[in-house]
Amino acid sequence: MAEKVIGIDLGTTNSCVAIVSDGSPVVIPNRGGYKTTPSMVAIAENGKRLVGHIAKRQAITNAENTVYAAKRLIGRKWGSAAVRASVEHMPYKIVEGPHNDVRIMLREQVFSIPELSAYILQEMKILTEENLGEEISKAVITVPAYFNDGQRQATKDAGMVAGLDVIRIINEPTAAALAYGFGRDLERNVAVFDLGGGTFDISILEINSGTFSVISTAGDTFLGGEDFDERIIDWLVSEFEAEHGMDLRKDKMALQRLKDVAEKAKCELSTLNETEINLPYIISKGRNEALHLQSTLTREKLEELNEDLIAKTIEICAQTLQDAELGKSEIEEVILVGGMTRMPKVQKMVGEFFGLEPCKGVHPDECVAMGASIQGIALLDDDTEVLLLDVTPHALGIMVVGGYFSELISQNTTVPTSTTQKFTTAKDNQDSVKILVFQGESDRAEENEMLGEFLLTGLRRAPKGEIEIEVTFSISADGIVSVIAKDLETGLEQSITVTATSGLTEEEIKKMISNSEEHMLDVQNSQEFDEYRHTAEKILSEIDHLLPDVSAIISESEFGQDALKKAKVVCEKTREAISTKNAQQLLESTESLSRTLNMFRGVVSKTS
Amino acid sequence: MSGNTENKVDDLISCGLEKFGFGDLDGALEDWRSALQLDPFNETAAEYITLATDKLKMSRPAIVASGEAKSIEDVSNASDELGALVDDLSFGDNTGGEEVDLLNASPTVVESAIPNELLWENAHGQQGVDVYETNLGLGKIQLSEEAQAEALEQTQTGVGQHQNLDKPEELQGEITNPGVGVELDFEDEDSDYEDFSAEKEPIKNKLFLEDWVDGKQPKGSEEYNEMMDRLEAAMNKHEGDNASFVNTASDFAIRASKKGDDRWAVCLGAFVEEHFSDEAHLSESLQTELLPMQKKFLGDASKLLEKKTDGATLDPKSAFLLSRIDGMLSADDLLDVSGMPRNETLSILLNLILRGVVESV
Repeated sequence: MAEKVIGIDLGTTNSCVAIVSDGSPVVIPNRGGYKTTPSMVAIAENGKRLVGHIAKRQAITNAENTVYAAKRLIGRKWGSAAVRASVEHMPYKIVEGPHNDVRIMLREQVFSIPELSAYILQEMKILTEENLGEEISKAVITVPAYFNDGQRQATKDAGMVAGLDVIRIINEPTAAALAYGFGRDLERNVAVFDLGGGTFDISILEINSGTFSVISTAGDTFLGGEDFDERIIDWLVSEFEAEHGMDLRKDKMALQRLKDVAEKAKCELSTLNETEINLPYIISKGRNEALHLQSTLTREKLEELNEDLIAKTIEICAQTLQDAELGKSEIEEVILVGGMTRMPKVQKMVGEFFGLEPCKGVHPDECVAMGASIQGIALLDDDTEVLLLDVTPHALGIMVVGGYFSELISQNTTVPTSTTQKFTTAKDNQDSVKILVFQGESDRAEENEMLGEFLLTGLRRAPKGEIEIEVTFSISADGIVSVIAKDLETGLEQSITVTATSGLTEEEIKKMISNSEEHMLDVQNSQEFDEYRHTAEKILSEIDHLLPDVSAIISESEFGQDALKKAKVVCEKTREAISTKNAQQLLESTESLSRTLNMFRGVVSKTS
Repeated sequence: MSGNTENKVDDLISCGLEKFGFGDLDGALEDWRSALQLDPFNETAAEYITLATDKLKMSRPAIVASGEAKSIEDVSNASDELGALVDDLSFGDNTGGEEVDLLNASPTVVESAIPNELLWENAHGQQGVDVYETNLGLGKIQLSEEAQAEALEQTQTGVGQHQNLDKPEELQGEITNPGVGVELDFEDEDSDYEDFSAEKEPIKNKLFLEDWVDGKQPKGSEEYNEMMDRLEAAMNKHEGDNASFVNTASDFAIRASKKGDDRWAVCLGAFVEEHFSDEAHLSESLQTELLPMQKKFLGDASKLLEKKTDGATLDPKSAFLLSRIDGMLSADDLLDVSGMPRNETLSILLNLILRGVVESV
């Protein structure tokens, strides 16, 4: 059997998994039949881990123990702007990790971000395995185009903890474009407009004979469908307060229901012009009296409530085109990705901005995972012609005098690449230089992400500016950055290979993998138990059905009474095993149960 | 359940066993109840609680009736009928006699244990026996009309006087008659029996459990709703003394459970949770005692839940819980996602099931 590889879109709000089957990418539905699963993890009161849909159902009532949008934190350093923003916005407790990384505390237990992301990836793996009935180990995972090396490595670590061999990390817009261009020979510039649940990304790609390269990318990590929901909630809350003088935001249960209904209404308004919102018994008003929320939301009102949010996405599009040095007319296709792009107003404004009708050929929720699965197959099969040319998501350079950032490789440069620049000493009699390697777009080095540092020593003592040092930056096809500094006078050189780190040590990762395997074992045992239970309940039901007849037939004899007694004991033992979830006991008693059923059947058939 | 919680539960169970071994029943019970709080479906903890509770009851002082000591063997003769009426009632006399455990007391013991001073009659001719310091709070055993007439005839005394009972056998016969209700009084729990004298007001807050006594437990959702309405009416009539009401309802729920009337017990438990969940301390014993029974009543908690009807009258908590039920969650899941204490969620869920609003499929 050919090896299979799954494509996973590990989204900020929702995740999706796909696999190529019979030459076409197919999305695997979750247990509820949905093609996407909420990227949420929660720890319940009894310590149980909740992932996906079930975690979402309690996200507000158990807000401090429910993690969502962990993707905004993955691979980030403690103290970075994104982390600061999250600490401010998120209801769960974000704490500093031991390696200047970010951790989350849930019910007094500290989790790393890759670990929490791994729970979601593991859920995707389990879903696929349940669906296909076979084990899956290889995966391609997508990340936003702007993710730096640390974030990509952290995503890879998450995959590893989930029991996956992550054979490639690819950019989300690239994956969407792959799904769009699958099976077609295209040569064009496309814009991928991705408005998901929590983030917005716009990427400009060039597709050329099976080659996909990202020309530029930008976005807002705090703009998505949830902001639209919040506007609806605000509106409903203020309407209710005006009518009843009660603030529903103060009641967690009411707020959870509002959140659910707001999202539902928003989705309905993509196809309907108005929708009824009904939340009976939403809040208590004194003893034994409850109030109901009843309202009608129109599409027009929804658009009015969110006008500025949509306008913001268009502004970012304009900036991205400018960065790509492309005119609107040079974009030949706009691919819409993310559930929010179903909103007619979004489609309209995007169409108006680019001057063309957005592409309807790809599924906004599924195309990223599909593209990842296509890339997976391409990586395993040498015959496929798909070639991805990735670009550096951020500029690379070193810190120079005054704390400035000197860029050597600019943002969006196609990899592999290499570049060299000459620098001089900054002080008289300087006999060594410290090379500090940074990644980012700010002129100030400290505002960028530091990747590493090293010393080049043994320089001849000379007046400043006399000694020349040549610095070479290289990025391999796998994204590994090497920096070499060479004293041009003596030929002495020092180098560093920047290996991205996720903030986790090898030991931590090993421990997490072991925990993850244990969890998988628990899941398997639980599935096994469910199978036993199902069989046992079926037999029990038949025995219960036959019992009156059998009793009537055999209760007269001494042997019969004894047999009935034994049968009852077996049934009781089986029920006890079901209620105590004792798989071994259930298995054993089910065997006796089967014999009892056969005996009952025999008694009834002999007399009928 | 996480490894940590599981370990904690195991530790608590072990500690409890150790205490049990040393005869520290209260300590053992406390540990096992804590274990049950962490893992409400822990059968072992539940089983040990039942065991320890029974043992605790058996270890109570021997019965003293009218100053005469009775051995524990006498207790085993308790009639079911009387047990149904007054099991769990323990009352002593205020004249320095020892406490009487009526849970297992024989009818004769019960009758003879009632101090004569406790007989009363109010301005409306109602007669009965004051029962104080009971597990139910303050209560009374009301006599049937015949018993009242008999008692009056025998004592020849006027209204407002404490009565003497010369023929206790006859009183005993009346008490055990089916149809005799246990009347719960929600008036001042601390009041002395002397207060129940001639000036006594007609009892307003009657909560007759005749249905239960007669075995008329609510079978379908209609009967259940009717019972809940009656409980609500009783609750509304008494205002302010929540502690007394909750303790009483809790005790009756526990007793119903012990009698095997799971439906009734769940109904009462759900009622207390629905109306007094904010006063968790009031229903703590109820929660612990009822959990195993609730679990039994619910059956397989991993089965999916389905909404059966719309338009039922609900309170916000029940409505919230109902809004979580989407055909993809089991009862187990619901306990995890409700955001409410698990005991409370379970009671509300059972309430919804009993009312036919939700079904476990």
